[in-house]
Amino acid sequence: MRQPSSVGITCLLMSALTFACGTIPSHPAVSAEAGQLSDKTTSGKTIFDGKGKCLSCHRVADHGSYMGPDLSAIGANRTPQELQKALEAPSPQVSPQNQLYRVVGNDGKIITGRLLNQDTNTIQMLTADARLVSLKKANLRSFNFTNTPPMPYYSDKLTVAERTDLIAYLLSLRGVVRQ
Amino acid sequence: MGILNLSINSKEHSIRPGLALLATIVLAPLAQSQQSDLPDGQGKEVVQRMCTQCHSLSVVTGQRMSREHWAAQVEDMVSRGAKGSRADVDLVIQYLSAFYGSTTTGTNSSAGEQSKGSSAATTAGVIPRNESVPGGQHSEPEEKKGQFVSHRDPVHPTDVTPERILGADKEPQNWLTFNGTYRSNHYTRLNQITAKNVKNLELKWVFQTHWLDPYEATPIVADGVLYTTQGNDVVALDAESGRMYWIYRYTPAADSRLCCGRITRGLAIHGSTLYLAAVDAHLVAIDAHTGNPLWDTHVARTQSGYTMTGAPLVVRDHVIIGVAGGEYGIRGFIASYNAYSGMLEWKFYTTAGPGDPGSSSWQGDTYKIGGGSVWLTGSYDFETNLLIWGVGNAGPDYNGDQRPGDNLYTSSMVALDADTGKLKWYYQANPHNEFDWDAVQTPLLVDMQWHGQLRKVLLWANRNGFFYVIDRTTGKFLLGTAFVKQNWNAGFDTDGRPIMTPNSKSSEEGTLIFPDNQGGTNWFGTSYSPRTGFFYISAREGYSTLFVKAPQRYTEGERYDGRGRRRPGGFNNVVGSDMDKFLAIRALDPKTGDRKWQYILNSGLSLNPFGGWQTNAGASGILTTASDLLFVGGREGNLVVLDARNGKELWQRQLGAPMLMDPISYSVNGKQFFAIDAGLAIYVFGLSDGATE
Repeated sequence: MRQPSSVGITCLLMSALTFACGTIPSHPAVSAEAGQLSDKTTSGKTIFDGKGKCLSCHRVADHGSYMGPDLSAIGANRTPQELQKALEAPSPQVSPQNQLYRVVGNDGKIITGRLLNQDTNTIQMLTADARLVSLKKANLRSFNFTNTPPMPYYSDKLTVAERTDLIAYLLSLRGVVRQ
Repeated sequence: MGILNLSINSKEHSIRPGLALLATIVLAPLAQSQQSDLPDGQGKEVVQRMCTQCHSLSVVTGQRMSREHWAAQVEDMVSRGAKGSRADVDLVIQYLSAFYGSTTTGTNSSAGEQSKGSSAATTAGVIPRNESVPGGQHSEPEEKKGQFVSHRDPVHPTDVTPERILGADKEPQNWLTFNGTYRSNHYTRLNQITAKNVKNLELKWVFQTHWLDPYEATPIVADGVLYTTQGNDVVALDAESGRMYWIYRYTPAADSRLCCGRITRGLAIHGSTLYLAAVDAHLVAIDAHTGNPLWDTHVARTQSGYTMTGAPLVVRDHVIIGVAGGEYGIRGFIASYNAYSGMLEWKFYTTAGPGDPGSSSWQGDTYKIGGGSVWLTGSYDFETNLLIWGVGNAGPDYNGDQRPGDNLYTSSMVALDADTGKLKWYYQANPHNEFDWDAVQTPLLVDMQWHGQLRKVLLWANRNGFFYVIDRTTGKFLLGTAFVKQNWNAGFDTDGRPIMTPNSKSSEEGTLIFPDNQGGTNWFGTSYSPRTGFFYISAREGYSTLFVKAPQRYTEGERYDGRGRRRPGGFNNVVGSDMDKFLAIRALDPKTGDRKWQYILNSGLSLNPFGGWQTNAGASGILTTASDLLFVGGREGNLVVLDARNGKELWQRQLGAPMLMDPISYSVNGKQFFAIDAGLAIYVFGLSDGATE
């Protein structure tokens, strides 16, 4: 199985289908099954929170990183097969909304994050450290999506059983549940 | 280690532990530019060497973690490419645990570090989010310091802490609550726009909503981001340019009973979570960075007529809301929900039930359908920990025969313990109200000299046409004076209970009462300037109504108003007396209620854009500034800036649509802005470049 890119970051950048690991979905409203998790989903959550390091890129409810897609409702939007493919054979192509965006100021300073909006003169971003910022293109040397690698392969990081549990957990994430 | 902080703005946000573990690799070039003053200790050099291979040290110094967490963090970074020997790694763990452990305060705060030098963002043209007050001078008394600590889970971001909200007047570049501050004075310490340069005020940007219902929205502004509603949607805009960051779309349940349109007047913020009180009586928490929903709590049954249209108020970790729906026979309440979980903490019913003080003011089960809606945001008195909130009228609105008694706590001001919801005091402005006079108008909390002693009071302009001064610690009535023509009140007894004029009650044939059911004022926010000492109000003058009653059976979810009102001469019959109806901006001396000046903003007789005559004057709320300006807009589309000292008009523009909510002011990058909604858009004004003198 192919190894993650040399930069060595697990979930830094993700594919179009991107679901990886990540967070402590502590809020019961996020998961319909929360509070009544099966053994497999409980195990999957442990992997998600720990070994998988999914929080590094993804977010569930109010935990995790903003850089990857929010997975709070991933179970409502993806099939088990799609999730399995995302973990074991993620697409090398990253959809624009999931790519990192990188700007370099005229003084060489770099800002990285997600592109939220732009027009002729300005760029709006959510930065890696979670700030909403608006930048003037006139003050930037360059601004582009980064040539970032896709989500890493998990076939060689997690066992089949672990991946199965992780998928079970992801499927339990159904978005905000009205209380 | 592999944690990233791109310090876009030197003072803006605190670093979020665990959040920025990503982007590392992309940022190696940053390392050279980062500043750091690590405390001296064994391992300092190793930390500098290993961690700055990929990121700023500020990411490290902004965190506090246990040794176990630091060990896991460092090992993770090593797995990601951090270079160092085993001994180096152990040393780094030891060093970080010692100086940045979960129980240490650190010797090198991220804030201190960030304050150094130019940030990437500043030089790259990023708009700073936090700055000093333009002009910066103020003379208001300092807020008293006290214990005001939220029970915050340390993993939560802390952008807009409860402590910041408490001290909101200290950071006038923001507008952190619906009413600006807990005191709700609609007064800003910003003073860059002055009487001298206001002629250079120009339109900076417009946010056009995609919305067709009435639009009554007051934005909040936090660290350069303006959050507002679009109906029940929520949008985040760059406060300087108006460009959108994100939009959260919310579709309310179709079975909502709405008297007055799908209105959502505003939002609240806590940490980096926004709170939306949606018209289908759902309280929704939204991530302020992304617009993603976090939780959604159903507050009340829409099929019974419950709705929510007012902005929540955050006090520590409580999200306080009120429910509307008085026209449908609801039993109103104010409630507190936990800011993190959305779980109900307490509920205070605005109609007194068995065991409540004043329960004898209702007969039988009438309190269960007695109204008392709460559709505007109240105030919070930190020193007494009291929520001070206005309560709507009793139901059925126009027929008190079906609800004998005073009907407490309708048409009242109530004071509740913020932690328990327990009633501390109430003052009822209109016992047994039959005139639809909601008393939801926001009280302004002011400390002022009263007969020779400093007194903590609230100033309150009621829809019933009276201006009140009440001791906010006890609820004691101090003053009540009419600010518009009225004929229902013959005075007050020693307890402040109004003495009704003869025959001041709704009748089958109709009783002529001043003011009309829309009141001497309404939801438009009032203002108090500590500089002028005046209380400012948008006053509807000269309006009257024939109040008519009729029996009405209660049916769940159906209108329950006990008939209604007729305009003297008929609704569509414009009579000469209409020329005596108008809306005036009035400055009152709060010590006496005496009028100091007035400015007539619009008449009650103007062309309605939809055809015919418009006979219902109205206005926005009022904002005053530390430069003695007063901003207000009218239903006829005129936005004006007045001299708060004397009412002299200084600036005027026609925006082409009514202004119905409260104006706000904020600043970004050292530039003061002024925002107000008009029609279905928000207009933002500022001085033309270089025109601050």
